[in-house]
Amino acid sequence: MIQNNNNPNIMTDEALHFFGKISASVSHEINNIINSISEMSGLLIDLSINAEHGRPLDVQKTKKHSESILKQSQRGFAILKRFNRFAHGVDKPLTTFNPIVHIENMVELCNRFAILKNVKLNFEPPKESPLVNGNPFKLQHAFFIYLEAALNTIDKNGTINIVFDNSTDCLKICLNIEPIKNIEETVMRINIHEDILKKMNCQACINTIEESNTVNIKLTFSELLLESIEHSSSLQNLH
Amino acid sequence: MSKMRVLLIDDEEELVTALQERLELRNIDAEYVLNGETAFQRMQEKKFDVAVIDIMMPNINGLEVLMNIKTIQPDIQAILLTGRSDKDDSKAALEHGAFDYIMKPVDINKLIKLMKEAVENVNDTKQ
Repeated sequence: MIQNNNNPNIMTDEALHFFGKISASVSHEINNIINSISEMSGLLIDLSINAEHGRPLDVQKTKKHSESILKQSQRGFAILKRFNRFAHGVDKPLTTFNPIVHIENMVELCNRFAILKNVKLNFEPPKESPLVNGNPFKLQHAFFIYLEAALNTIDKNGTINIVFDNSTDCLKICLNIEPIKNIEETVMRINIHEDILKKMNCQACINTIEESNTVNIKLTFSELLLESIEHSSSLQNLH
Repeated sequence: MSKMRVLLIDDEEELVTALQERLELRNIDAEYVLNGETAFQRMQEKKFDVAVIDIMMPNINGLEVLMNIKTIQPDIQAILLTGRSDKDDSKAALEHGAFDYIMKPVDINKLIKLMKEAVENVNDTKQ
């Protein structure tokens, strides 16, 4: 949890804002799923009523719609599982966790924002799973700030590649964003959050390539030290 | 009396296919498309009485679709679908020239009633 200096149990406005955005997006997705299930159930009832009145029941169609209901239910369970993992990020201010699991989860949760902008999110998880000691909610929040800035300035049909850098002692995540409509605006949008990000011990190194309208952001979480792979391999399932 | 011709525009494929079939079972000539671009193409080919448009769609949102279809078929009546319970979407829909809006989940009887009212509204205006 992002802590207020005077009261460690109160989330900051920025953290609440972030939590609210993710919650609202998830609720929209769940709403879409329930609407689809509701409409398909309605159709099955219509077909059943018609069958009661002597119209032959199309078994293939009934099966297809029943399978669609199952598919939507599974989609709903997957979203709720991701949201549950996200929400539990605030449970402990300091814990040992696998940052890849949390970033992958955030990428999935933010995919709806990307789809609405016609942008593709690519996440390449590293082969080895490191562990870090720290605050998973801070990591998720900082990552979201950069991803949102990228989504607000990237061109339609663009791509954001998210890659881990395992070459150093502390956690580093790279966002490669292309093409960018306005590189200056992207940099400005990221720098707006400098103070919040400092509180999260997150620093951004921004590299712009004007020829290809690309922005590379390297996020360094100096407080999240990677534990050795040997140690972490026995704890890989820790989230 | 000829069948009412309805174009459903929503990116949630399973929702929109089920809605289309339910309208067909009620003797309405309903088609669906999954995005604004396809809607514009389809409207160049066929005349529709009513368009039912989801507000929140990727790339071209429902309000943009509404404005564009009015230039292709000025007589078309639009009903917007909204998943949000606040008044912002509905107010924007009416300001952009929609006949009305309806909240998701869709009450099919309410939707059909609205579509009939929309068509009658055009006929009254013409007379």
